[in-house]
Amino acid sequence: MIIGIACVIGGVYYIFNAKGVDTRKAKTEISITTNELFENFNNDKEASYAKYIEKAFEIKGTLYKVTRKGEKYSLLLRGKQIENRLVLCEMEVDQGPIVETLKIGDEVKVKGILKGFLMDAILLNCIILEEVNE
Amino acid sequence: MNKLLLLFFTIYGVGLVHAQDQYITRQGEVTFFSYTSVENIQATNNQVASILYPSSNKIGVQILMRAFTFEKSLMYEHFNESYIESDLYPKATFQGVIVDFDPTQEGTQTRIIKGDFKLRGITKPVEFKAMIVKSDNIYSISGALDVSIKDYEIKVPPILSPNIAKNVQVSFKFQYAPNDNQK
Repeated sequence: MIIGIACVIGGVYYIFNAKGVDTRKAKTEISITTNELFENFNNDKEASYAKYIEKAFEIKGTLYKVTRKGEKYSLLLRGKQIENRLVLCEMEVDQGPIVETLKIGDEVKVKGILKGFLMDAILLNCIILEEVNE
Repeated sequence: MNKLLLLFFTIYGVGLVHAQDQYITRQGEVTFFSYTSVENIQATNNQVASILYPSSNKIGVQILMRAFTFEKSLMYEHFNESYIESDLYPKATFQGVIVDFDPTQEGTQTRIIKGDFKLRGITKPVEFKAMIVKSDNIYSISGALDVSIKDYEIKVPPILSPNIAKNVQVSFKFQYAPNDNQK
């Protein structure tokens, strides 16, 4: 009885205090390159990728820019297109030491949770899967 | 002219001007605070897109609602699924003008921004004070406004009503660079 009550209290506490998604454990729903992502955009880009929103998304692209706000870095990846379309990946805090080794122009593969599209595709809770210096 | 920016401003009606007059940010910061005696809730979105046209004083903002981050995942779920209904209304937008803005003035100026804020498909006129700083051809704009949850028909279940403020304070910080630098 006491153990049961403790389990219920523990469960409720866990639900109310859970910190959010763990990208490492999330099942990858799609793995593509920035070129494929932008080539597949149609006029209604939101609808093209709506089924992947809030899902784990792996994307490989060329590192265009790195920004930092507080403890979090963001990577901006681009494809070969001339147009100003980017993939914006806000990294997990623990990715800092890896991000600091990257150079602009590196090919980088990132896994994150797709949140949607503005000017760019936006991924949060990102982790670096691999880095290929070319 | 960049096709995406063209689309952005065709949709949001801010107007079309020459590319050299566009200043953009794709990582603006918007934070909201809900203060009550029961609970304080804060969320931040660091991926807000905005374009500023200094010559016409016009400004446009797009906010992806799912890009707000909360301390606890349950708050995130309530916000997106129950209150904002982000599946139906994924973005909030603002379009407006900076009143009496002098884009050539270096340093700080405090101005009123007037415009229309659209949230959950509902558009309301808003007006708020903002601090604008120009330095080295970069414009920084920051400020705050109060948003009434009633105005945007945000429905809070009676049991959670004491936890959610009736007026939510929204603050913002944008740093705009010339669009040429963003390519």
